[in-house]
Amino acid sequence: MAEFEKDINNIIKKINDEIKAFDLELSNIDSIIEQDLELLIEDYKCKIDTTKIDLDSIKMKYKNLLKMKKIEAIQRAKSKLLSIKEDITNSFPDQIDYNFKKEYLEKFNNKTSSPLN
Amino acid sequence: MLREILSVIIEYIKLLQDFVDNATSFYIVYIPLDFFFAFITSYMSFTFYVLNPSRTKAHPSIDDIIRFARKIEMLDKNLKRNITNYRINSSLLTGFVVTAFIVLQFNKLNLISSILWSFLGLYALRDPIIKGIQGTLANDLYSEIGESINDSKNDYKSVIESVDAKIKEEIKPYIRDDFEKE
Repeated sequence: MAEFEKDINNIIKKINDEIKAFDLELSNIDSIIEQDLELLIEDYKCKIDTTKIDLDSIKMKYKNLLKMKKIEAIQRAKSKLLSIKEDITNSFPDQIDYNFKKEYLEKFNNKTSSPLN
Repeated sequence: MLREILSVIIEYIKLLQDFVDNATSFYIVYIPLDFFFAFITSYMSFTFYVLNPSRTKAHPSIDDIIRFARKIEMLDKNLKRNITNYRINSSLLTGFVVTAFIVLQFNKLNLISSILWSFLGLYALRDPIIKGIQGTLANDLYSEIGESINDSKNDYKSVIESVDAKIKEEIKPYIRDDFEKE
């Protein structure tokens, strides 16, 4: 049973780490999108006639689309991870480490957001 | 655990004595054979009825595994509390009854002794079964997490590719003559 408890707590820790990484990505989303777009047009910079077309306007045109799609992808993955975490929390309450339980209860009592956020 | 198993064996022998007036050497061979069949059939029916209760899916889903790992854990606790006095749920009951009938078909022993041996077989197998399920569950959960993250990356990658194609199309007319237009 100890091995299983270890697995369960490692899984919860992994989910928490991944969610934190996603949150970090969301907080830096503008610079990430900027970098991605820069990479996309980098190859064309030396090939096009910049007097006829403005690459910055092209970047601006797709920036919002990329940002929206990236946020959607992250939110989808986050909600999937949260649902796995909720399943584990509900299914194996006895195996979950005290710290995770405490975190769960604090967030639930504060009702600031979803109890497992 | 040994004491519990021994108590079941003693109960079993007492029951046999009640039902069989003249025990012969035949039963010395018969009892291990009964145990063997009960062991195998209880494992089979347990796996069939408990792990896959809907009996419609080839493999149990992750929700099934979570639900039944929990159920087995509860069963394990109950078994540990008192082997002769535990509550069984309908899936298990079905499994046990089927086991008992299969054993009965094979060796013509009475129903009670078959059920007792099924319990014993199940009890002996509970640790590897629980560990196996827990291991599968942990692996499935890890895979599920990996898949969620990869899905997110792949979704974004496909968007990037489509945007790249759009940009390529848009700037195509403006590529300088000294570069070959793709």
